[in-house]
Amino acid sequence: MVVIIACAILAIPPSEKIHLGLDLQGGLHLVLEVQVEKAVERSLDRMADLLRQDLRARGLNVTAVEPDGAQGIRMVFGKPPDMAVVQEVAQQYVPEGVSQQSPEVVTAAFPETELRQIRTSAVEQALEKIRNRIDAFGVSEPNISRQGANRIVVQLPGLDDPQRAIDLIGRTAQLEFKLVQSQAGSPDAKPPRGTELLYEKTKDPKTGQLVQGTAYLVQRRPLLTGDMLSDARAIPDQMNFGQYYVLMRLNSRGKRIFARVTQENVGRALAIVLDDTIFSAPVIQGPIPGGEAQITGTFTPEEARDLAIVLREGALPAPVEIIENRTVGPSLGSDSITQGVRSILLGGALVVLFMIVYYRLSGVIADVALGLNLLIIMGILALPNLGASLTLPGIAGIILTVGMAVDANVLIFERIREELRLGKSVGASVDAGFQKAFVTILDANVTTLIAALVLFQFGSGPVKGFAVTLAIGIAASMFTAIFVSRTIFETVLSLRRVTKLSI
Amino acid sequence: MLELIPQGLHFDFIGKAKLGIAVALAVILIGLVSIVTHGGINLGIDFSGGILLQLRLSQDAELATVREVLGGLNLGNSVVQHFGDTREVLIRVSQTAESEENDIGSRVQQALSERLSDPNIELRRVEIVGPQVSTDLRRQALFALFYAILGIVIYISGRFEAKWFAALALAVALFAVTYAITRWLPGVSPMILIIIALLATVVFCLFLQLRYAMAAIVALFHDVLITVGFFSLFNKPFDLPIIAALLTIVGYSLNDTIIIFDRIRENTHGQRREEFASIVNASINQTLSRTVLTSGTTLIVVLALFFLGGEVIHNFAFALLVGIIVGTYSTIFIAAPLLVFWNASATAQRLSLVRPSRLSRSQRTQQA
Repeated sequence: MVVIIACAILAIPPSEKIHLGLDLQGGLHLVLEVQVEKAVERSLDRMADLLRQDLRARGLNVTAVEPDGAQGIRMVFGKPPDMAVVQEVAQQYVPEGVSQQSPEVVTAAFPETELRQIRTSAVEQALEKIRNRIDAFGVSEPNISRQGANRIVVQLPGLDDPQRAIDLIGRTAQLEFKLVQSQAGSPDAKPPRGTELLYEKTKDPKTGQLVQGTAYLVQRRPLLTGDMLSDARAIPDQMNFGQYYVLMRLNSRGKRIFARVTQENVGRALAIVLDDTIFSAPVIQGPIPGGEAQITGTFTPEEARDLAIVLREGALPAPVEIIENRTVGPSLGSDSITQGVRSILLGGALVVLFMIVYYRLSGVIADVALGLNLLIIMGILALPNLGASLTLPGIAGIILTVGMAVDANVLIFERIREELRLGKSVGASVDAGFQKAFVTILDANVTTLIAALVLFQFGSGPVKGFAVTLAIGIAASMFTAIFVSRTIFETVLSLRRVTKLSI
Repeated sequence: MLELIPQGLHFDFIGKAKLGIAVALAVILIGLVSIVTHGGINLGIDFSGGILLQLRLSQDAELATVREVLGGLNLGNSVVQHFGDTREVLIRVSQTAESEENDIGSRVQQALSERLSDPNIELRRVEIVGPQVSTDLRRQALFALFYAILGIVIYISGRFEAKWFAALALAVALFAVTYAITRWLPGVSPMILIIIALLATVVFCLFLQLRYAMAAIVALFHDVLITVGFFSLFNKPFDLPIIAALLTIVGYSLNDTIIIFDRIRENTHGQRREEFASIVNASINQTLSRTVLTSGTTLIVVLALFFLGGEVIHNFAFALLVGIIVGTYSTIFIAAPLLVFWNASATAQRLSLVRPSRLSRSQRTQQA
């Protein structure tokens, strides 16, 4: 009784209390894979840079320091170096594994634990950044979690423009300022050492699509990077109505570097590069001490706002690849609900009718039990702490439960009929019916329950929703068919003498 | 009292069992032939990877026009069909240039609305499943099927024959086998692994004399094989929800089997002297109304889901529909008769060693 009342309170009104899955309310389900090897590559690059500076500072004639495969750094010297000094410098970055390959070449290998650490923190940072971006974007009830070693699951319910969210999440947002060497002549020629070929992307004013523009040869090493930003904001363009640009404010270190760079390179072009694409390459007119820079690119307000978000929240430590994307529009979700509810109503009505026609008054008792069963499912789904949500297969699970819930009563009633045929009294038959059918009901339901539990392993998504409602439904049906309908039978039988059972 | 199955019905199910099994084998064979001629099971994007788009137009969609527009977008292999009604189209693309996958939905939407000058084309569903994910899901699904069947076998053996120890031994042995295979043949595909494991299950059941479990598991194979065969016959894509349907079928089909097995057990306790075959036959007859009624009520709701549930859930409902019918059939014509056949052959063996004089009688049982 308590259970039933509790469930009724929990589940009413169902439209507010039951949390709908993404396939019913519409929304976005993304699985991202963090390219952790890129993070390793990047930190090896960074470490090679620092190592080179340190070795030079100690007066060693080092000609090249570069990543050696994916696990170490290779140092090439002009003449055989003093190994003691190399050891001492390298030890700050690589605790062990420094070995001399030939008189001029020294390698330092990273231990596997260190590499694993880099990968793990790349995934954690990516998770953090994506969470911040989504918070800044403003989505109610987002669900962002880690899956396995290097995957991130993002679930965003009820979006108007899912594509915009995908762009916002999937963008690495690696911002770099690089000096332009020259406009590239032929794009096929191999860029000279220390430079690389990057393309400017411009927006086609008619279609709004980004198209490939001018190619530039730029210096490989960035002068400034996105982590030196203190703020980024979308600002309406005074000259072009309706267009926006993004204003970036550098932090104190960035400000210092920017001032120096602009002073030293007046007349040269500085490319603003985002994820290896040049947004603009303005020519430096004079020193800029204020530490402000802007990205112009005829942005719409949304584009400018989203770009400002990713710049402000910072770059992902490694690119992410979207390996699964399931988007359901809100109209499809609501259609599914209507159709699901209609199937439940029709299927339920037919079953209720059948039970009454076949078992008469006893059928009514079974139908009451069925109704309570549905109430319990709703109640448990509405439990705030369970975090269960109703999905389309979940609705199918409820429909199946309607069909299966009466099974237990069918078994009991058939048994009672059998006992009556043997000539037993009504009371004895009811008793025997419930008692003997109990074991069979338990056995029969356990197997379906095993199947439902195995389905649970499909981490998230619609199938899990099915497993949830099916499991709850089966458990509830055992409870209602055995306890509830038995209580009703016994109450009726104790109130008045029944000589002929309506079954 | 309304009765679907007349009282005192005594149909000779065991006598017809050979015909029943032959029919089942024929249906399985048709399904397998269909799978082979279709070049394997038609995997949906969950398991094969790819892209699925569902769009709704403001007027009827000409599939030829949609194909033409898709051709202009250079998407690679695509299949276009109506979905539900003629205003709605479902597009499945198997391969595209990877880099441009993620905005494919809006690109198709835009291209279509330009071509058809229909500004109100609605992009209702986009599903993009990468190869890493589909491989994972494929493995997960196969293991789910395997673990479900294993769990059920263990439960039935323990529950029906009080052989919890043997059931546990079975589980341990199976884990050893699968572990050994993955350990020494790491490249082996999960499909083959599962097939080996399931065959091993049957062998272990034979060896450990787990009769009920053995009969139940063969019936389950039958249900799963026929459902998969029907999917191939109707050329429906096999997706994640279908695995959910298969597992449900596996669990639910056993309900009826257990009801009959329970009755057989009850009847053998009461009448020890009687022939096993006639006990089983009587048990099937006694529980027939239950079998039909329980499956019947479930079938009613699944039919409601099949006709009213909408296109998205249609294939799922189809799988349940086939599975419930086939599961009821296998209970009566596969699981129960197998018990009799095995019992007969076991008795024959035992008796031929001890008392050759009674051999003829048990042979008669076998033929009855």
